[in-house]
Amino acid sequence: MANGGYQQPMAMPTQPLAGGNVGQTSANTYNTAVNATGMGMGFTPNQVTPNTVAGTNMQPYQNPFQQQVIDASLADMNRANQMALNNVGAQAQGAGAYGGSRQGVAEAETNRNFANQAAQMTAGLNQAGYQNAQQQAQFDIGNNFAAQNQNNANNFAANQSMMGGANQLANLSQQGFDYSNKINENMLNTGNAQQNLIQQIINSANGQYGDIAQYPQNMLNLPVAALGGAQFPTTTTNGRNPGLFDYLTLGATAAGGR
Amino acid sequence: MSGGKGGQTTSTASIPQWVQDESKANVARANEIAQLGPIRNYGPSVAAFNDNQISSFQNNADLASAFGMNAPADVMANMPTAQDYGGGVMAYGAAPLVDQQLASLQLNDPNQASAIAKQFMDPGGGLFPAIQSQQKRLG
Repeated sequence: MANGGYQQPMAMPTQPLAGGNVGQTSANTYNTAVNATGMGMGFTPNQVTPNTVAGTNMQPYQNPFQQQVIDASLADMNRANQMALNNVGAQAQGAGAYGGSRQGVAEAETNRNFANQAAQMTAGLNQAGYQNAQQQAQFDIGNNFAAQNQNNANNFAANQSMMGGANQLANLSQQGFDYSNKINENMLNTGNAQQNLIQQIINSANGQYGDIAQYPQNMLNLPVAALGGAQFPTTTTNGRNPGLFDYLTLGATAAGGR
Repeated sequence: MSGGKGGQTTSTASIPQWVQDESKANVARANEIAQLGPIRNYGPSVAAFNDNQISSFQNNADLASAFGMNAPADVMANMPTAQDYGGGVMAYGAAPLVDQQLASLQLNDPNQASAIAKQFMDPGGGLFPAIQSQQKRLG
């Protein structure tokens, strides 16, 4: 007989979900949620198999005292039949026909009546017993059918509960993951700001160092700049080379003077 | 200037002597400065990662590991060691790498390295320690 017994639909997580930190907890919770969801998706209801009277062993439902009742009833009827037969014999003796054929006919009729009543009584008791057993079996069959359905309903409800729990775990895992990332992001931003500050100090120092190292070269520009802006006098020397006309003029002047 | 058939007149402008002296002195100073050669920077170049950053890196790796992903146990493994430059400045300096590059140049292209080194004085530690110490010995 299929009993459709209730079965725990999933193994509960054995490892503690809370880890050493929020990231570990998130990961544990995530894995548990995934496993629970997988189990939930694999849920299949038990097949409900109704039992039948035909397939039921009726023996346990029979009245164990039925045969005793029948036997006692038959014994009573047999005694009544014996008494009836005695009366037939006495009547035949009174009529002077004891042992005759008429007595034999009368006794046979009495026995036939007895046999009919015994058969009716036995059949009636057996039928009543069977009907009673059948009703009890049907009652049990109904109970069993209802129990199978109820177990399936319980399993389904438990599975729904597990799926709900898995969904909640998934949300918690996401929440933990977000917490972890946000905290980490804040920490990184803090570190970046600190590193940036240090880098600015380094850049500033290198700038000053560069100025010092480059000072000799830069220094050369100072005299150049000073000379470039100064207005200093230049000495100009004029010279003249005489040309042909000058010589002719000189010649003419000399000739005129003689 | 004029002249032609009538002759030629020239005019010469001369820079004052003190200006000439200053210019010559400046050139001499430039030659001295050129002898200095390039000035190395042995100071910090790049700020190192700090505790907050390293913790953040490690947290990220640990989170990945918790979810079953590959992640280094020590995120700072194989990273160069930062140097303490004092005043709370932990940083990396470029000088060691420059040393390496110069040494490599000296090893692979010694003539070029020597030609460069000849252009300036021996700095005392040296851009090219081997070459310049040899030059020093040779006088």
